[in-house]
Amino acid sequence: MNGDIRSQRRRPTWLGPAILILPAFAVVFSIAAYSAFSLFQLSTVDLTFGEPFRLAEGVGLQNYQWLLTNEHSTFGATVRITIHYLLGTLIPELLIGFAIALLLNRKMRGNSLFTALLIIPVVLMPSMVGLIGRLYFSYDGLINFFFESVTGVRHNWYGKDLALVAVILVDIWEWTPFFILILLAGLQTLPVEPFEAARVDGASRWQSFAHLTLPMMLPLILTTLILRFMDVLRLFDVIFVMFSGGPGTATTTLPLYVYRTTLVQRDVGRGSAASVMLIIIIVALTVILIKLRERIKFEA
Amino acid sequence: MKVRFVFVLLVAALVFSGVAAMGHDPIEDWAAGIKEQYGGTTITVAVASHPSVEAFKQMIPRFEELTGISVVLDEMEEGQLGQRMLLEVSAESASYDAMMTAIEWSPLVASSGYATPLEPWIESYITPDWFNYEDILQAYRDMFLWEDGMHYGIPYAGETVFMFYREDLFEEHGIDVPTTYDEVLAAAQYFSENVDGVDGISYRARLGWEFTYMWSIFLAPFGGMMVDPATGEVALDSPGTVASLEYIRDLWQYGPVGVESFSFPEAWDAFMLGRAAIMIEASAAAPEVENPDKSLVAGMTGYSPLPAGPAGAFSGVWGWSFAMMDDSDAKEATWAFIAYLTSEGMQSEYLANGGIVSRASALGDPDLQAENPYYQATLDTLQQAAALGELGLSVVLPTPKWSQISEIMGIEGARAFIGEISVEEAIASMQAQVSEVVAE
Repeated sequence: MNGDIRSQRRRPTWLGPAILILPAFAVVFSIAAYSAFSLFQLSTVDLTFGEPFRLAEGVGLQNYQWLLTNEHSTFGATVRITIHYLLGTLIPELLIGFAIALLLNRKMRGNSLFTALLIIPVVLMPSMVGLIGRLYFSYDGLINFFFESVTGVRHNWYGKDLALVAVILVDIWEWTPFFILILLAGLQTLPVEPFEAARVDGASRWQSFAHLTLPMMLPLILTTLILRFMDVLRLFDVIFVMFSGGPGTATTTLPLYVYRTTLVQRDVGRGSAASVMLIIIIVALTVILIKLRERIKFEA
Repeated sequence: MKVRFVFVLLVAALVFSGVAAMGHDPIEDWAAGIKEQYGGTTITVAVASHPSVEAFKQMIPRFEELTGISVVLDEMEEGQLGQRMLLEVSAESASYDAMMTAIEWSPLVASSGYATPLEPWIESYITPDWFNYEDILQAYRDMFLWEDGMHYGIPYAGETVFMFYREDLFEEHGIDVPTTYDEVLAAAQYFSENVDGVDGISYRARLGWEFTYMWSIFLAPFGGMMVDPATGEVALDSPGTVASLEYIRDLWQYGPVGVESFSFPEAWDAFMLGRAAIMIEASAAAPEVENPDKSLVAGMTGYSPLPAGPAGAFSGVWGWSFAMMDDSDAKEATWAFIAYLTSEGMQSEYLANGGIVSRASALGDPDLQAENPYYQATLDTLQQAAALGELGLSVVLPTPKWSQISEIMGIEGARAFIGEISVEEAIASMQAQVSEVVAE
């Protein structure tokens, strides 16, 4: 009996699960670490894609230096465009998605059918979405047909001023349903008691939303944002098919820059360096968002 | 009686031998020999999605039936095929027996040893008499010629750039077909300003290689060049290069809205839907333009070689070929496949299936010329390409580094085109970057 108590004391409760999870963790971590290390290694060499890897020459951090300081580098402009793209997609997607989720959370006829239909843009092949966008946003396309019907004016969505807006609108169309589905699922799991108590206390709908719904949904909102944020920063197919990063560099986001530098311009070193910086940006911002989410959960 | 009997026998023998001779098909005879030696072999060929491949797909079943050689086609998008080739070259191994190769890739596959020189195969016993290598236009054959004097691809889809124009509009408005680039600009302005629903000129200007593709044909007519043939030095920062970039930017105002993002399908569509009076584009567009199922201007289009700039009239050649991989362990069967599909003997079937003309016998055939009004312009434009070659210039630099150079020119040029940077800044930037690539 005493021995049992002693053994329970000696063995921490996390040890069993840790041992069970260790092999899977080791495999996943070692593959990720090896890939990250290889990528970093490639970012410190001068190598033309297509030449044997044995011809790679070490150049230290010169590739990073070139990207960040060289007068011919468009890396800075690319980061700026990526930030515009990120904010232009995530904020509207969250706001529209949350608003529609709140609407669908009411009991209305046809809710389930509408919710099922929402999945369609999300499951479409990104390259097909890009092709649809390319056709719809052409000067004689569907979007201008609507604009002309309403305002009497057609716009050049293929031009430098609106190309990024066109890509952002396509992303909003494709990914807002993702926010709707996740946030709707969250809304449907909220406990009803606090809302009933608030109603008894005479709280208005807005007060219930601001003081109950929003705080309780914030951790889920942040989780959804983190998922989409990582996805948006890696988005390639749609922009590539619509504009290839052009006109000029108007839609060249970081993933397109990495692609063009590595596979088209065949500069493995600079492309890998840009890729490493992209990963650092994603990881840093994800950590900030996760910390924020933890803090909100704790406060809630 | 006896004499009559002998006579009848002789006539019968002649008739039978004639019938036998009529049934004697050189292609089937050749294929029977191949089948005996290499039947049962399987070859894998990497191809891009292209009209020529669609034509080949209709021809391959008969090749397989006749020779007993099985063909596995690995078809992918053009960019993906290029990346696959790069990966295989860097890994120093080939997983294909043959690969569809563009002019831009040929220096790399040749210099790296990924592809095998084809001269020994062209002269080999496997090559049938009806292959006729010399019949392929020299300008196209030489696209795949490497520094060692050997050819690394058999071209089957040659391409050049010429001018498409709306004969009906030019006639109706009493405008002569432009023979200089100044006249092109003036005509484009006229149609843009005077004909409702019609823009002056359509062409592609999408970021990257498509921009370089289009701009490269304007360089020499304005006195520009990528590399000075006399010194071998990068010479992008010449006044002629600046002038050529400024010229295509000037044309922009008379093009369809959004031309700055046009790839070739949009450029072709604008013309085929009757929304552009002139188009400067790839000759590969001509069969589409003349197809009444796809084009509203079929039968109304004229074709002419490219106009002259201040330094002369020049065009260029591009195209696709089959290269054979050096690592292939089924070279005989692979060469039989290449020789069969790209031969003169199979040309009429290839063209009837939608293949792209690359042979002198087809371009010079009066019947085919009558059916295809762009054949004469193709021949004339090839003269312009030859004139460019005589200056030691080309639209694609024969170097394994071409894709890097093309990308730099395509990005900086496209940025200047839309006014993101000035033409002078773009030229200075590409001069510096291309020099760096060449020096490596």
